[in-house]
Amino acid sequence: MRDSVEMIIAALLLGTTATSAMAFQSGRDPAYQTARESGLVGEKSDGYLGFVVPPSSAVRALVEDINIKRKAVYSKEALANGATVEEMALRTGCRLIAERTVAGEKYQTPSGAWKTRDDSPPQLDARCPQ
Amino acid sequence: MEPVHHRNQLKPKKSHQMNEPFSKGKANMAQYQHQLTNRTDNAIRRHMRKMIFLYTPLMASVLTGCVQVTAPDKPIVINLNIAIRQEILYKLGPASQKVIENNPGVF
Repeated sequence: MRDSVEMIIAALLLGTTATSAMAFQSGRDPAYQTARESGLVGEKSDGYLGFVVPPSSAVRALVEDINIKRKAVYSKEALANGATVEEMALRTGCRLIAERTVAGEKYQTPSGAWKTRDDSPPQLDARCPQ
Repeated sequence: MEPVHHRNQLKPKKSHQMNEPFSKGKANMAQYQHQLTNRTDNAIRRHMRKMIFLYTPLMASVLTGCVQVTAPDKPIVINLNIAIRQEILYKLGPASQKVIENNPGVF
Protein backbone atom coordinates (compact mmCIF):
# COMPACT_ATOMS: atom_id res chain seq x y z
CA MET A 1 0.00 0.00 0.00
CA ARG A 2 2.62 2.47 1.15
CA ASP A 3 5.00 1.29 -1.56
CA SER A 4 2.44 1.97 -4.28
CA VAL A 5 1.72 5.42 -2.83
CA GLU A 6 5.45 6.16 -2.90
CA MET A 7 5.64 4.97 -6.48
CA ILE A 8 2.76 7.25 -7.49
CA ILE A 9 4.44 10.19 -5.74
CA ALA A 10 7.67 9.31 -7.51
CA ALA A 11 5.94 9.18 -10.86
CA LEU A 12 4.19 12.51 -10.29
CA LEU A 13 7.39 14.22 -9.15
CA LEU A 14 9.29 12.81 -12.10
CA GLY A 15 6.73 14.00 -14.55
CA THR A 16 6.21 17.46 -13.11
CA THR A 17 9.09 18.89 -11.10
CA ALA A 18 12.39 20.07 -12.42
CA THR A 19 14.40 18.81 -9.43
CA SER A 20 13.42 15.24 -10.13
CA ALA A 21 14.37 15.64 -13.74
CA MET A 22 17.76 16.91 -12.61
CA ALA A 23 18.12 14.01 -10.22
CA PHE A 24 17.27 11.61 -12.97
CA GLN A 25 20.05 13.17 -15.02
CA SER A 26 22.46 12.97 -12.09
CA GLY A 27 22.01 9.21 -12.00
CA ARG A 28 19.92 8.66 -8.89
CA ASP A 29 17.20 6.08 -8.84
CA PRO A 30 13.87 7.98 -8.93
CA ALA A 31 12.57 6.09 -5.90
CA TYR A 32 15.74 7.01 -3.97
CA GLN A 33 15.43 10.65 -5.01
CA THR A 34 11.81 10.71 -3.88
CA ALA A 35 12.68 9.11 -0.56
CA ARG A 36 15.35 11.79 -0.01
CA GLU A 37 13.04 14.65 -0.92
CA SER A 38 10.17 13.40 1.21
CA GLY A 39 12.44 12.98 4.22
CA LEU A 40 12.04 9.21 4.56
CA VAL A 41 15.80 8.70 4.41
CA GLY A 42 18.71 10.94 5.27
CA GLU A 43 22.48 11.13 5.21
CA LYS A 44 24.14 9.82 8.34
CA SER A 45 27.39 11.32 9.57
CA ASP A 46 29.20 8.01 9.04
CA GLY A 47 28.81 8.14 5.25
CA TYR A 48 25.79 5.90 4.86
CA LEU A 49 22.07 6.41 4.41
CA GLY A 50 19.75 6.08 7.41
CA PHE A 51 16.04 5.82 8.01
CA VAL A 52 14.45 8.97 9.42
CA VAL A 53 11.12 7.16 9.93
CA PRO A 54 10.51 3.40 10.15
CA PRO A 55 10.89 2.34 6.52
CA SER A 56 8.60 0.39 4.26
CA SER A 57 10.07 -2.79 2.86
CA ALA A 58 10.73 -1.09 -0.49
CA VAL A 59 12.58 1.84 1.11
CA ARG A 60 14.53 -0.52 3.34
CA ALA A 61 15.64 -2.61 0.37
CA LEU A 62 16.56 0.52 -1.58
CA VAL A 63 18.66 2.00 1.22
CA GLU A 64 20.37 -1.29 2.08
CA ASP A 65 21.27 -1.76 -1.58
CA ILE A 66 22.76 1.74 -1.81
CA ASN A 67 24.65 1.33 1.46
CA ILE A 68 26.19 -1.93 0.27
CA LYS A 69 27.30 -0.22 -2.94
CA ARG A 70 28.66 2.72 -0.95
CA LYS A 71 30.64 0.40 1.27
CA ALA A 72 32.08 -1.26 -1.82
CA VAL A 73 33.34 2.01 -3.31
CA TYR A 74 34.58 3.22 0.12
CA SER A 75 36.52 -0.01 0.55
CA LYS A 76 38.12 0.27 -2.87
CA GLU A 77 39.10 3.91 -2.40
CA ALA A 78 40.28 3.39 1.18
CA LEU A 79 42.61 0.64 0.02
CA ALA A 80 44.03 2.92 -2.68
CA ASN A 81 44.71 5.65 -0.10
CA GLY A 82 45.99 3.60 2.82
CA ALA A 83 42.97 4.46 4.94
CA THR A 84 40.38 2.36 6.71
CA VAL A 85 36.91 1.93 5.27
CA GLU A 86 35.49 3.86 8.26
CA GLU A 87 37.81 6.79 7.64
CA MET A 88 36.91 6.89 3.98
CA ALA A 89 33.20 6.62 4.79
CA LEU A 90 33.36 9.35 7.43
CA ARG A 91 35.24 11.73 5.18
CA THR A 92 32.83 11.17 2.32
CA GLY A 93 29.92 11.50 4.75
CA CYS A 94 31.19 14.97 5.76
CA ARG A 95 31.22 15.97 2.12
CA LEU A 96 27.86 14.38 1.36
CA ILE A 97 26.15 16.33 4.15
CA ALA A 98 27.96 19.58 3.48
CA GLU A 99 27.84 19.59 -0.32
CA ARG A 100 25.29 17.09 -1.54
CA THR A 101 22.25 17.62 0.68
CA VAL A 102 19.89 20.33 -0.55
CA ALA A 103 17.34 22.30 1.46
CA GLY A 104 14.54 20.06 2.67
CA GLU A 105 16.60 16.87 2.82
CA LYS A 106 17.45 15.15 6.10
CA TYR A 107 20.85 14.63 7.66
CA GLN A 108 22.02 13.29 10.98
CA THR A 109 23.78 15.60 13.42
CA PRO A 110 26.71 14.34 15.55
CA SER A 111 24.27 13.88 18.45
CA GLY A 112 22.30 11.39 16.33
CA ALA A 113 19.22 13.58 15.78
CA TRP A 114 17.76 14.05 12.32
CA LYS A 115 17.72 17.59 11.02
CA THR A 116 16.29 19.11 7.87
CA ARG A 117 18.83 20.90 5.76
CA ASP A 118 18.18 24.61 5.19
CA ASP A 119 20.27 27.56 4.10
CA SER A 120 22.38 27.55 7.28
CA PRO A 121 25.55 25.44 7.34
CA PRO A 122 24.93 21.88 8.55
CA GLN A 123 26.14 20.50 11.89
CA LEU A 124 29.05 18.27 10.90
CA ASP A 125 31.01 15.71 12.88
CA ALA A 126 33.83 17.34 14.87
CA ARG A 127 36.34 15.17 13.01
CA CYS A 128 35.32 16.52 9.61
CA PRO A 129 38.11 18.66 8.11
CA GLN A 130 36.92 22.24 7.87
CA MET B 1 -1.50 -57.28 101.34
CA GLU B 2 -0.78 -55.30 98.36
CA PRO B 3 -3.63 -54.74 95.93
CA VAL B 4 -3.34 -56.43 92.52
CA HIS B 5 -3.44 -53.97 89.66
CA HIS B 6 -5.27 -54.95 86.57
CA ARG B 7 -3.52 -54.00 83.38
CA ASN B 8 -6.25 -51.71 82.13
CA GLN B 9 -7.50 -50.45 85.41
CA LEU B 10 -4.83 -48.81 87.44
CA LYS B 11 -1.40 -47.57 86.56
CA PRO B 12 1.13 -45.39 88.26
CA LYS B 13 0.32 -41.86 87.33
CA LYS B 14 3.73 -40.98 85.89
CA SER B 15 4.00 -43.90 83.43
CA HIS B 16 0.43 -43.32 82.42
CA GLN B 17 1.29 -39.77 81.44
CA MET B 18 4.25 -40.80 79.35
CA ASN B 19 2.51 -43.68 77.53
CA GLU B 20 -0.33 -41.61 76.11
CA PRO B 21 0.47 -40.33 72.59
CA PHE B 22 -0.43 -36.71 73.37
CA SER B 23 0.05 -36.66 77.08
CA LYS B 24 0.98 -33.70 79.17
CA GLY B 25 4.19 -35.40 80.18
CA LYS B 26 5.30 -35.76 76.58
CA ALA B 27 4.46 -32.17 75.85
CA ASN B 28 6.65 -31.10 78.75
CA MET B 29 9.40 -33.39 77.51
CA ALA B 30 9.22 -31.92 74.02
CA GLN B 31 9.27 -28.42 75.43
CA TYR B 32 12.34 -29.31 77.45
CA GLN B 33 14.09 -30.79 74.40
CA HIS B 34 13.20 -27.75 72.37
CA GLN B 35 14.71 -25.48 74.98
CA LEU B 36 17.86 -27.59 74.93
CA THR B 37 18.33 -27.74 71.18
CA ASN B 38 16.91 -24.39 70.04
CA ARG B 39 19.50 -22.19 71.65
CA THR B 40 21.33 -19.73 69.44
CA ASP B 41 24.68 -21.06 70.63
CA ASN B 42 23.99 -24.78 70.34
CA ALA B 43 26.64 -26.99 68.85
CA ILE B 44 25.19 -27.37 65.34
CA ARG B 45 24.61 -23.67 64.89
CA ARG B 46 28.02 -22.83 66.27
CA HIS B 47 29.66 -25.10 63.73
CA MET B 48 27.53 -23.86 60.86
CA ARG B 49 28.53 -20.30 61.70
CA LYS B 50 32.12 -21.35 61.68
CA MET B 51 31.65 -22.92 58.25
CA ILE B 52 30.02 -19.76 56.91
CA PHE B 53 32.93 -17.62 58.09
CA LEU B 54 35.40 -20.11 56.65
CA TYR B 55 33.80 -20.69 53.28
CA THR B 56 32.28 -17.31 52.35
CA PRO B 57 35.65 -15.72 51.34
CA LEU B 58 36.63 -18.96 49.62
CA MET B 59 33.40 -19.10 47.59
CA ALA B 60 33.63 -15.42 46.76
CA SER B 61 37.14 -15.83 45.40
CA VAL B 62 36.05 -18.85 43.36
CA LEU B 63 33.09 -16.93 41.92
CA THR B 64 35.08 -13.83 41.01
CA GLY B 65 37.61 -16.10 39.37
CA CYS B 66 34.84 -17.38 37.11
CA VAL B 67 33.46 -13.92 36.29
CA GLN B 68 36.84 -12.54 35.28
CA VAL B 69 36.86 -14.76 32.21
CA THR B 70 34.15 -12.71 30.46
CA ALA B 71 35.29 -9.12 29.94
CA PRO B 72 37.50 -8.53 26.90
CA ASP B 73 35.55 -5.51 25.58
CA LYS B 74 38.01 -2.80 26.57
CA PRO B 75 40.43 -3.22 23.62
CA ILE B 76 37.49 -2.95 21.19
CA VAL B 77 36.60 0.50 22.54
CA ILE B 78 40.19 1.62 22.13
CA ASN B 79 40.23 0.29 18.58
CA LEU B 80 37.10 2.26 17.75
CA ASN B 81 38.71 5.40 19.07
CA ILE B 82 41.84 5.04 16.98
CA ALA B 83 39.92 3.82 13.91
CA ILE B 84 39.55 7.41 12.65
CA ARG B 85 42.90 9.15 12.20
CA GLN B 86 42.52 12.87 11.76
CA GLU B 87 45.47 13.36 9.40
CA ILE B 88 44.11 10.62 7.14
CA LEU B 89 40.77 12.44 6.98
CA TYR B 90 42.54 15.54 5.65
CA LYS B 91 44.37 13.44 3.11
CA LEU B 92 41.12 11.84 1.90
CA GLY B 93 39.59 15.10 0.67
CA PRO B 94 40.29 14.59 -3.06
CA ALA B 95 39.52 10.87 -2.85
CA SER B 96 36.08 11.50 -1.35
CA GLN B 97 35.38 14.07 -4.08
CA LYS B 98 36.34 11.54 -6.72
CA VAL B 99 34.23 8.78 -5.16
CA ILE B 100 31.12 10.94 -5.20
CA GLU B 101 31.64 12.12 -8.77
CA ASN B 102 32.41 8.69 -10.16
CA ASN B 103 29.45 6.96 -8.51
CA PRO B 104 26.45 9.24 -9.01
CA GLY B 105 23.95 6.42 -8.56
CA VAL B 106 24.77 5.63 -4.94
CA PHE B 107 25.18 9.14 -3.46
